[in-house]
Amino acid sequence: MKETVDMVDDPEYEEEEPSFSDPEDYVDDVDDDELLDDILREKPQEADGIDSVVVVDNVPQVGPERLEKLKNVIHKIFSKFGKITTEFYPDADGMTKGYIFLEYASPTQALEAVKNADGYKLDKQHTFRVNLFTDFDKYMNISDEWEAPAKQPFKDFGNMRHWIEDPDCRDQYSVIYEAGERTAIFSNDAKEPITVEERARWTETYVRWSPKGTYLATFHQRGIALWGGEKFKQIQRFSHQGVSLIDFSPCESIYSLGVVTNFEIFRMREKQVPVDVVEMKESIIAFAWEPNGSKFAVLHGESPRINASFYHVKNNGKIELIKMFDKQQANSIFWSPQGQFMVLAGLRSMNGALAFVDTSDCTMMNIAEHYMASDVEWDPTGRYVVTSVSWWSHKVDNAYWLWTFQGRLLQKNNKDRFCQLLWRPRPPTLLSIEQIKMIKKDLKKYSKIFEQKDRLSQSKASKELVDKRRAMMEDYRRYREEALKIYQEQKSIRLELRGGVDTDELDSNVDDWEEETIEFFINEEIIPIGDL
Amino acid sequence: MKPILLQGHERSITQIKYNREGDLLFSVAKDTVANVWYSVNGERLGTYNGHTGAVWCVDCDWDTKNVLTGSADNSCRLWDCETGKQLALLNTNSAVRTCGFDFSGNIIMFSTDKQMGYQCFLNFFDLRDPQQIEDNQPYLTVPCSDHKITSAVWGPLGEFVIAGHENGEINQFSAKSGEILKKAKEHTKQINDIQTSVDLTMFISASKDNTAKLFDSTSLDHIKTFKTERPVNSAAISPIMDHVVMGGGQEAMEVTTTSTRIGKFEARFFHAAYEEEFGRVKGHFGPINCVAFHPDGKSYSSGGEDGYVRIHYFDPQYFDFELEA
Repeated sequence: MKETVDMVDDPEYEEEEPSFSDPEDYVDDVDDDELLDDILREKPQEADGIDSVVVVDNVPQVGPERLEKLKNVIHKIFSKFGKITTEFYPDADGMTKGYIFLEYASPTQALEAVKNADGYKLDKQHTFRVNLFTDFDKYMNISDEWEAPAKQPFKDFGNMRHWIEDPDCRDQYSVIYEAGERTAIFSNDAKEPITVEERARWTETYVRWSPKGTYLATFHQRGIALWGGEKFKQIQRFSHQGVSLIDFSPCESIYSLGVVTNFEIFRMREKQVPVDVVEMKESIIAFAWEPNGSKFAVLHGESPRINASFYHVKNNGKIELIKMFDKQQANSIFWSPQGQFMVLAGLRSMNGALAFVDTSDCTMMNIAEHYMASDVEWDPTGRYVVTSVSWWSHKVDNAYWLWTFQGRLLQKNNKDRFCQLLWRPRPPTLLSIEQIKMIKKDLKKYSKIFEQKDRLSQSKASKELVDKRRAMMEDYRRYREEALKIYQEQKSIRLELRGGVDTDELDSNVDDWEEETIEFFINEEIIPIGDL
Repeated sequence: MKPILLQGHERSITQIKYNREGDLLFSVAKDTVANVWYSVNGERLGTYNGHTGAVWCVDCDWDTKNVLTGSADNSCRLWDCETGKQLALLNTNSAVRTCGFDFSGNIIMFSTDKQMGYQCFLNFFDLRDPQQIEDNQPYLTVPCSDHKITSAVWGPLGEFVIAGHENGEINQFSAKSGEILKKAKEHTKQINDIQTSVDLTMFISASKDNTAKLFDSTSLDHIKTFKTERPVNSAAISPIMDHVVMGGGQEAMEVTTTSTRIGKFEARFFHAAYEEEFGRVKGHFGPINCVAFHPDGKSYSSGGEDGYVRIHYFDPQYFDFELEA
């Protein structure tokens, strides 16, 4: 191996070493900030650390002889939230002023102290008030002059109730598909969904409807956005970094607790909240109240012996069992929002078994299946049920199927990487009870008009389909005729290629046929032969 | 009518084929076995023994004299149909994926996979020249450097081969010069199967892109598209009705998420002119790998990942069924 040679001693090395000094008249024009930016960033700031300071008010005012004890007590209480690095007890005329400053090791610890110690009752006369020092700063800087808020220009979002005015009373539903890339709003027509709006990347995760159906909320990294009106314009944006769950204000109802082997019904609206207990001998899988009604359904037992029981809560509060169906393939209960009808579903691991039940006489209207269904959603009117296979739980066969409330399948809609479908809720009716009574009375008259309309639109659709098919068949026939013409012209070539044997038809060569007798398998019987 | 179940393979079926008259049904599988059955009653006639690897393809000449098979054991073999005797062994550098006799039965073609440094080749042998077989020297060998051939059939008069590639392309290769006569790029993913109509005027291509497409054999004009939500493994054209049948599923490794249902893999029937599905036949325990119509159109067969071949004779309603038009 060649030894390393010192370059300077190497006779072949003649190049002069370059000079690294600045030329004589060089003036440095590089800023310190530019050169040392990263180091300067860590330069201790004068005001650094005020985010970690809290002010505690309503501290007992003590003299020097009790100061040590006070400090110990404060320390004991406030070290729970973090490491106290500095404390300051201002005093005047020999007594502590009644407020103190505590500095923590980090701003988060200070926030913890504010959250938890604010309102802490030390004794009868002293309840701590804890604030961040920086909040004081903020409040102190509020201008003394009150300015009326500037008038915001009126933003017209259009008719926010537009969808309710649909002349055919179609409900809307949202569909998320393509693994979340596309969100669409459809209008529900029994024949085929009608696209209302479709956008790419409308939401980053899920969507939620507001309880009355007025808004659609979409979720984003920065927060949520609300959309509404006929064209689904953006109404409002709420900043909330990393939001994942929202809940619109709920409404009250009768609650029940599902404990393993029995449950208790608390009648919230009655005086003294009476409790009824229903004993179940098996573990409870699911429980659901009938909306607008007085029944509830329970799924109990263990797979494969799962039972569905229906109970009725009488006027006097007594609970009686109406009927029990045994050996059900179900793990979820879905009541129609109007009550009476419901779907018992075996979702996900139970492979999508469905049972459509009429609880007025507890009969099974239909038993069906949507293989690997992960969700069931009733439309707001209780006329339609959607079962779906979400891409979030199963990577193939992603689709949503539309059924009638009786369990008759109407549509199968496949959507690439379908994720979620939500019906748009309806706002509460504006009709008075008398008006509803009147409409129910005249229902026959109204239904005749609607039926006629339905029949017209059905025949129109089938006429369109029939026309389309006729056109396709004509094109196809024309193509086949042309192809067959060419085929006939080529017959001689075919004969030549096969040595004169005509094979154009299966029976072109009857002479070549042989007769063969064949056996057919009828039955198999195993007859044991006695001991050999 | 109750289907006839053929149990002669221990691993998934790769291809099934009827002979021209339809009395025989050939089946080949990953278990190295090639079987031949009577299609009328499902009785097995015999087995062609010799391959040492999965058999990917099978074909029978128009006269039901010779049988051709291609295998992952890097060979393409010629057999005597009646006796089962191996007549020729053509060794290759990589697995033989697709093979076939031309209209006259004199010329055979087969394609080899892109494997182990070797690219995909389309080879042509003339059986009338025994020297070619003896020397294992095809008279024409066409390299396909870009996307390998995944399925191929002969054109109507033995002038060209219609090949489907792994990128969805379909090309016509001249059997005389090897040059590409026509191209079609309608599919977006691999072509899994190509089958001609009984008169060879058109063919149907089954693709991983969830569709099957009908083309004219000579012009390569795209005529119809049949859409599904699963990859299509195989498709066939009815000889007597305006119907096509399709079978599919997913890759074997994805099957575990869908195969928990017994017997629920279906063959799907579409109307050829309306492109609408009108019927399904259940029964296989795994994805369907190959479908074929009997030449008289009165029955069809399907071979599945489950190793079974099922022969279905159509009920009278099938022939009367019509979509409103």
